[in-house]
Amino acid sequence: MTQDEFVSIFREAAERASGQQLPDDMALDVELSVIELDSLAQLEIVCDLENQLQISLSDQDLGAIKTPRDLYEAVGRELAGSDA
Amino acid sequence: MKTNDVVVTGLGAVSPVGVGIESTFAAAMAGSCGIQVISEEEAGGVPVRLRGKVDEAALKDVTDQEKITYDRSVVFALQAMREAWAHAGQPEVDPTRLAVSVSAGIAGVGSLVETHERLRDHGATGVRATTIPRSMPNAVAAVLAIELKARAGTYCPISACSSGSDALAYAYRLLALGEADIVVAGGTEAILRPAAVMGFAALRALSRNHDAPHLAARPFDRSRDGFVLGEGAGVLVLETAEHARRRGAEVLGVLRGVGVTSDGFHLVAPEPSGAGAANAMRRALATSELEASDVAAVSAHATGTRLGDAVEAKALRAVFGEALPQVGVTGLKSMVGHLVGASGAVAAAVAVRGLRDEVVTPTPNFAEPDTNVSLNISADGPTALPDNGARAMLVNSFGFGGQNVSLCFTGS
Repeated sequence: MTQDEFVSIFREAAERASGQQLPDDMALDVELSVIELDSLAQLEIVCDLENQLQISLSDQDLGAIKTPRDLYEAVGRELAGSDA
Repeated sequence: MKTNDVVVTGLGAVSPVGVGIESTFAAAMAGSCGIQVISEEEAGGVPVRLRGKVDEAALKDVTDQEKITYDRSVVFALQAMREAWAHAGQPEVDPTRLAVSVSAGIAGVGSLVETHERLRDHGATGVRATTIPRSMPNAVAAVLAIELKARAGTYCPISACSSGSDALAYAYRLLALGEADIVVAGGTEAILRPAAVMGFAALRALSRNHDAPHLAARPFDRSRDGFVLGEGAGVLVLETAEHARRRGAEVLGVLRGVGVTSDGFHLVAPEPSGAGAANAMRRALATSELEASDVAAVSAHATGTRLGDAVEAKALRAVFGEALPQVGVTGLKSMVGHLVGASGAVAAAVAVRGLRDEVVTPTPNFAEPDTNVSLNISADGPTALPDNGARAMLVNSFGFGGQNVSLCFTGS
């Protein structure tokens, strides 16, 4: 998955979870809490991505996710793993 | 032992005839009908299509994000709470002296049904992380407590259709016993989903008068054929009289006392003599230190079922005896339908608002009395409080399980 593809589905999932549009210039390294995605909204986004991409992120992965880039990388590892 | 008097300093309402206490009260005074027939598609295979729906667009004080995050019952409660809290003047109160007591009959059931559908349609990964926080019944109280930073306890006394009144009764006790200075209290309900509606229909509890929806909810009328399910919320800011006085708050009414009893009889049918209901009214009067002759009017539970209304009429007769014709009886459900766990709280808010103007809202659709008990019901328009000096109003609320709650209010 390219970074642009990820940003696109992340945006949609975040909007569904929070009802708010993310800033157009959202940086991948911004902390999720800074863009007002609390712990529940973050879990909601993860559930949404798992459902769309048919992957499963481990508790360990989740614990380490602080930014959209962390999530992008975790999703990437998982997709790579399921391709292998 | 009671140590404090309890006053009402804020009112909030969400109902099928209006969002906001003033619009709900004005509609009730005018005898408006909030009942509609929904499409077969929306009814989702349920043969009963009468509903009392809230106008979604009128929920001005909740955000789109809140509508996504929370169960609809919580959204209604937030709307009603914010109105009531503003009405009370956004009180400054020690958080450790502020409690919340708000409940619903079956809050969260809509969210749970939604989860079932997602699991069925999308498999395990379709289940959302918000499933449990959306479904847990105490969310209706907890979300309000979080917003208000209430630290004196969050309560959610669940008792089916009397839940909202039970929550108000609980709030009364907290204040009377000195455990809090302010309690935000009431009820909410949002269960207009096919599965829940069909559950009530299967009990033969719902009216099927699709040809005349404005006549479907007919409390106490001889031709009544069940209730119409509605949705909404009522929230009152209750406060010790002393705290209200200290902060210079406007007192809108007084919650003089409460009566709570249980039939201990049957899971859905009321005990046929009406003793439990009558004793709830007597207890409400006793804790109020008032007599039956002080009661100007009763906002009856009056859902419009054959059995329920007949039993409540019997109970009224037992409490008021020969003086019953002097007591005005009103049934809000004739206009809004049965708001289940919200019904008692919305009725209480409307009653308190009415006492301010010394009026009682009408009961449209009441045409022909039942033969056994004669009640003083006005179908045509509001009535003024009687000139015999009686100024108290009872608000009755009963629930499946044999739950009986009566609240006694007077004006300020």
